Amino acid sequence: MLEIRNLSQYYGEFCALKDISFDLGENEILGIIGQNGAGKTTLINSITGLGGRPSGTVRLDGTDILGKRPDTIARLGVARTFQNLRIFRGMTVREHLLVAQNRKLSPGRKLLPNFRNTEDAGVDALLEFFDILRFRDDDAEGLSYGDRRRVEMARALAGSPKLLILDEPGAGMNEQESEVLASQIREIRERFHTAIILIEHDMSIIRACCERIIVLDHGQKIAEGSFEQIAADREVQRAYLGEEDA
Amino acid sequence: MNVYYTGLFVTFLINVLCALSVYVILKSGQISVGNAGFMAVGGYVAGILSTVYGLGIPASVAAGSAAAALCGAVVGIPALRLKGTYLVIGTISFTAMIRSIAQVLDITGGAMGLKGMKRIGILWIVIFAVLVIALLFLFEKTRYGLDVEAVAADSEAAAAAGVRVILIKVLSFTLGAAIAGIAGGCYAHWTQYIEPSDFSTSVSTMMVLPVILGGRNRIAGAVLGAAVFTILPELLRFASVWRMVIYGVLVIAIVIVKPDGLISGRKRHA
Ligand SMILES: Nc1ncnc2c1ncn2[C@@H]1O[C@H](COP(=O)(O)OP(=O)(O)OP(=O)(O)O)[C@@H](O)[C@H]1O
Ligand SMILES: [Mg+2]
Repeated sequence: MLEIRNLSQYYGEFCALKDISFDLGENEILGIIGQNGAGKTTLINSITGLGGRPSGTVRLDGTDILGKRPDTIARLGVARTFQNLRIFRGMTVREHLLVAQNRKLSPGRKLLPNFRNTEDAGVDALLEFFDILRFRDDDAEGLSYGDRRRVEMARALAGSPKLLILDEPGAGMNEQESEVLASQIREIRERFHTAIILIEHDMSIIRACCERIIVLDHGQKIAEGSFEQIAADREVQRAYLGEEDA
Repeated sequence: MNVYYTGLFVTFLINVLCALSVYVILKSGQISVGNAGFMAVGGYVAGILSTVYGLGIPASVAAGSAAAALCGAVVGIPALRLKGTYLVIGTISFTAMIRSIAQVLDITGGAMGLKGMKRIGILWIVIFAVLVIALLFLFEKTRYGLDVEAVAADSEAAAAAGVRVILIKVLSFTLGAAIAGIAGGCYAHWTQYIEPSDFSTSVSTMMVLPVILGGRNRIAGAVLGAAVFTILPELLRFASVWRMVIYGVLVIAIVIVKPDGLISGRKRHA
């Protein structure tokens, strides 16, 4: 469904991404790992139309999306979360999901004023899934770090994306929470029929979720394969030397 | 009602329209210090239509609003590329441009101003104000209203969630300009005389202050701000020359004590 060819991104002289190519299949969970500054976030920013002037090709179900506006890309079915949380200030958890849901509504429906707190099965089910239903009508900004991460994931899913991109969803979560997260990510695929790109430093989550993993180092793809293949790769070991127990 | 209170009431209604015209734009996370320009477009177009072309006053005001809305869309598009101070300067320049055009054209009466308008009935001003408040209230309850808030909160995150940020921003500018246009049309047909200096940058600024003071998150805030800015100058009449000083100090004090305005906090979406 996603086809990336020779994707590069320069910031002035600095090359943040160099000739990245890979494919992603329907319903696949692809892991992207790499050390701090390797270019993981830059890669998904390029895919989602945020920041920089990337070159190369990015095709979503055959449609060229590179260089398109972020809202256009989102409306084509690509949703994402942000590594450094981007919560809508002052808005409730429920409203976060309604905003993302909007893309599926007709302009006529969007112009219909709504006065009652109408039950919305879709929103509630998502909140229930992430175990944040009790915060539904609370200000999202006031939630704990982990819960705000969950709000971001729920918001991303509320738009029924074909492709969900998660940028370090496990950051700041403890071991137990990470375990829950890993099973949630696998369940997301089954329940919402979406392909997933998962950026994560926590190898237990990567190992539990991803059939395939891409390793980035200094903006370049240095390896691609299953967890075992990656772990055995010389170059990956060199890039991670002394830091990774995998 | 005696003439004094009638006049004060009309001033209040026009101030409400002016404040709401700014409110709508602020709500989308943008700022305009050029709404006097949109007001001028509404005032001149309505005034010319009713005097030269003999159109009815309410219809002229509506047409003036439409013309202002068009200008709003035209200004709103380049405004997308401007942020903060640059947007302030950009919108100020727009007003200056409108004033210069009104200065040089014959049909606007040049520096002599436009006169000959018949007086608009107060009821019409009430109708326009109530209509604008009601429509804004309804708009905020729609999913578009929610989009506007998301764009103001974080336009990149909103875009990533599929909100058409450009559409929402231009729409907000257009709507704000349309409301300023109504204010201009009503003003022109109430005072029955307008001249370019009626629409100076200080007028634009005076349109922003009530919203900041009253609370930029709520329609009620803009209305309250407009009320304060209508009554305060009257209450301070005794202070003559010191009026503007007291005025300024009061406004600064309120903004320091209540940075989100007198009516803060936003309404939730059902
Ligand atoms: N807007 C920018 N301008 C200049 N350089 C940038 C910009 N954004 C990112 N970079 C640089 O690009 C490189 C890759 O950054 P990126 O955020 O993609 O890394 P990352 O792999 O996501 O790291 P982390 O694990 O810390 O999130 C870094 O060296 C960073 O300093
Ligand atoms: Mg990153």
